[in-house]
Amino acid sequence: MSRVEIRNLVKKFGSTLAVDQVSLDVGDGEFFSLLGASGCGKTTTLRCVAGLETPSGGGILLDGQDVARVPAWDRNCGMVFQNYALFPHMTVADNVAYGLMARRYRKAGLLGRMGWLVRAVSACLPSEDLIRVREALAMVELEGLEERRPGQLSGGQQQRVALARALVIRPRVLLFDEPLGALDARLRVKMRQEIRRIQRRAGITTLYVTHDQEEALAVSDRIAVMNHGRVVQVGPPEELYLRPRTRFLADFIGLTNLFSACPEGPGRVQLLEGPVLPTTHAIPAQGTFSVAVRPESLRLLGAGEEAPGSFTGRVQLRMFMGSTVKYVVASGPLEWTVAAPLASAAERIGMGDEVRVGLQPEDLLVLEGSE
Amino acid sequence: MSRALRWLFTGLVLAFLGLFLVLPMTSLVLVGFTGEPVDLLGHLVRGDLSGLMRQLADQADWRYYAGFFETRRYFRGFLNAVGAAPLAALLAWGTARVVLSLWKALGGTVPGPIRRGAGLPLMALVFGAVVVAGLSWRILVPAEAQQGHWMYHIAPGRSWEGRLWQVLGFCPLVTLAATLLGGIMAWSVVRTAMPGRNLVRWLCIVPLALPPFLGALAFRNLLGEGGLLTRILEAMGLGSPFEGQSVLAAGIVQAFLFFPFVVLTTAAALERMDPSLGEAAQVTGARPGFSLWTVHLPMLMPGLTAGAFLAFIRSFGDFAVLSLLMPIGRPILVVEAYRDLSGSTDWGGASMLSTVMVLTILAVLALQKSFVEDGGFETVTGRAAGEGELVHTPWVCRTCLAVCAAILSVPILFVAATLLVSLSARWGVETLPTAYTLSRYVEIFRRLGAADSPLLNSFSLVLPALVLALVLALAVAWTLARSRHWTRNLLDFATVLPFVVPGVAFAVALIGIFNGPPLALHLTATLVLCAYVVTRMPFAVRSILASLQQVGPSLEEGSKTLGATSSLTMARVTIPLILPGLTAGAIMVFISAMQDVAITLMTCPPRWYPASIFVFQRIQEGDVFDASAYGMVLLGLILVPYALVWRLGGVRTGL
Repeated sequence: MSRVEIRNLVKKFGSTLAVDQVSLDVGDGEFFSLLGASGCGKTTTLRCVAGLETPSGGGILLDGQDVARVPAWDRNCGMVFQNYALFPHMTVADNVAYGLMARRYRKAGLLGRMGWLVRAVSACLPSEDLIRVREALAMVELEGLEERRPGQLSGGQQQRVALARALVIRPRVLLFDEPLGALDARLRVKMRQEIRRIQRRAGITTLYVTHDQEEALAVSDRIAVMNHGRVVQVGPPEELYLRPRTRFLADFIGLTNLFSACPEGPGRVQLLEGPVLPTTHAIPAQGTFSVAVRPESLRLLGAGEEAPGSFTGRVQLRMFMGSTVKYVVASGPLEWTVAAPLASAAERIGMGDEVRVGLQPEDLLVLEGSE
Repeated sequence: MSRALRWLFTGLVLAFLGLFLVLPMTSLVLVGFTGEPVDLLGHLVRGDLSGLMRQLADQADWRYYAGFFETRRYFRGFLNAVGAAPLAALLAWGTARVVLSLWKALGGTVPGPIRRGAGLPLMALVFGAVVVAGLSWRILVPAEAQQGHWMYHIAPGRSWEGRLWQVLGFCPLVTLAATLLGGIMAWSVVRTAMPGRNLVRWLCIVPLALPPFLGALAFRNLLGEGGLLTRILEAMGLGSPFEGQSVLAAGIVQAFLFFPFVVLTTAAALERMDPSLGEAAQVTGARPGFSLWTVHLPMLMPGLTAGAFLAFIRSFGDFAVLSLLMPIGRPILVVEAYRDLSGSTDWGGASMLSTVMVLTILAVLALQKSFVEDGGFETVTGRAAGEGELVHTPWVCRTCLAVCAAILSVPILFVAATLLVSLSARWGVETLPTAYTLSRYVEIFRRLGAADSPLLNSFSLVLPALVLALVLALAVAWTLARSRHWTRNLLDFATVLPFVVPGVAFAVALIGIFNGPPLALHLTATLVLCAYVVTRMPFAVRSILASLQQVGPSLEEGSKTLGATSSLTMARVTIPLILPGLTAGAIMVFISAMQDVAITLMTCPPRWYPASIFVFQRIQEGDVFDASAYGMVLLGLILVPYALVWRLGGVRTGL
């Protein structure tokens, strides 16, 4: 049961600043994600926590203890790597038991160390370790594969072995570095549920690095979005999705209707080359800023229907997505994406039709930063 | 190329390999039983197989193999080379494997831990037991009981040091030293941010290009009696550290000549190894000492043992250094085989010893292969470590640089001392020569005009061999890369065999076939030339094969679909693409043939003696000055193309 506190972390590689004044607090048992595009410093932050990188400035506290001088092997973290980093010359059981053997070696005296080394090299596990290995493998549903080698396992199974290896040592913190990157889409969805389930059951504080916003939104208690080595916004998934503060975040989280705008009286904004629309959010007094509307909060208005804000456009594209139907509506030079529930799509709107689009003032989000 | 022509060509290649490789090796095994040449070729030409069988039935017996254990210099020569303890460990491992596979064949089950992990502890146990027994036996057992006892053969040395050499074995110790030197250097070059990494890598070509006989000469010039360093040490009042001929001298020369093989293979393995494996071990709780033994070393095993194996076969079959530097009372297998044939024309003994040498190397090869395969080291497709993942710690970098410089300084000092000797006109008791001259080099180039110039002989033997080897290698590599025919495996074997057969053994095999009619080629330049082709062709085959495999058939097919004919495809697509591999292979063939001593010395007529033999004989006569001058010219001829092939990146494939 532990907390991770990152205080003004700075990491430089030569002259490039990979992590710039990052401060985060991860609570006990929390599933915390670092989300960002590649090169944003999220993996470097994680590696600093693991002890694989030495910070250039700032500090990291595990349970309130500064670990700056603690080497990686004494931090008691479990880590799952992007390519799993399973030892190809060991069986599944030996891979999982590796951390246990390493701990026995660490705690032994000089002679004992030699003994444990020989046992580790010749793959002679103590029976209590074997029990713990079995437990860990059962937790990831890999019973019976103890004697296989990593090369004989599928990608998903390798992933589970890597997870079991990280879990068996009962780590203070579980670290994931893009763990699902190498899996195909369907397996990714399945594995992320699995990881979440196991993490909840074990109650281990977790730091999870990913570039996939859908993945981060689906599994995390809280998310920190990073860009250029800095934290852009921290919050629960719902907050990030519903109330993104910046244009970067809205773009990254997958908001498609992103436009530049300028103020037009109280509670109203003028979209550049577009309509004037109402909003309930605070508007900067002057200058251009960005606004965003989620596709599912736009509505195609029927004849006689009214909405606080509305504009007309022509349907360019109609895409059937399953539970919704997506329309791309061109209004002047702007293209809007509208996600309509399947039921309303029965109104037989087709490509080329003239439509009216309506929205509620609270759904027009006002963001910092422009294009 | 039409189909018939292709078959004719393949047939010629197979006939050549059959005549100069398969037949000699077969005859080698047979002569080890009959004690005299069996005229294998004559029987085959006459179609007289029953006559051959009769001759074999009449003459064959185990006399010579029994003699191996009874004749002191044979068995001692063998034990001196491989060592009692490593031999016992190897035998224990082989026996255990045979027993285990028999047990499995009979339906028994072997528990996983024993199957995987028991090999090393077993070998270590046997090794340790033999070492302890060999060292303590002379002390514990009363002197009168020692005479005639079998243990006496294992550790006959009177001194502690002598017994240690004999129990541990000369070649295993050299291999161990070369592996340590090469392993440290490879790690420094690949995994640290040490300054001058590329230069260190580059300078490895000096020991690689130094022919062993030249290494022996250079050792004398540097550390032997009257050597440069010996003079310096004597001037400082420290006395001379080495005797001219000693086990230690031979060991030092071999270790410092053969360690680059380990550097090459280990550096390649290190570059392939995924750095995240080490990181995973660290985060999972492994201290550096623990992860070194459980992750890094096991992962490096394939590269490390491949390099160690190369160093071992070089050391084991290296006739030049062992015959020049080993002291008189220390028989060594390869030298004994040479003496049996050249000194006393003992066919049976020479053939038997040669067969034993080949079998030993094959056994070590099997050990290395099983080590790698049992370990289950799949080639991990890792990325190379980035600049950020290198070790930057200043003291580590400085130490590594110092160690690498110290290692490399030995072969470089070898060359420097030899150069100094070759240039000295007057050198009495002073530390440095008192007068210098270029006359020896002038003489060498003046003699190029003469009919018996050794240098000219070198070229007349090596260049035709080079052309022939390349033509054959192209055909063989092509077949290996593209054909799925069963002859492919045969060819594959034929191109591996020369790698593992020591030069002396191959010469004994060749003489056994060609010393009389129907093809009396012994002591003709033709035989030397063909021997060069067969033994050096594998370099070219491996190198061409590597580039052919990179090219892949799709490019050729692409060219053909565009309407090009086969010959046009060959000329415009294939040849240009494999040109780097071809060049690298050609240079490796050239270098290796220029260095040859054993085969040439045994099969070449004196009229055709090349530069290598000239130098070798001058060294034997003690004429270090002429030998040094010729040696430096030879080294230059080898070093320049070697630097070129290094630039082409062909050294790794051309091993």
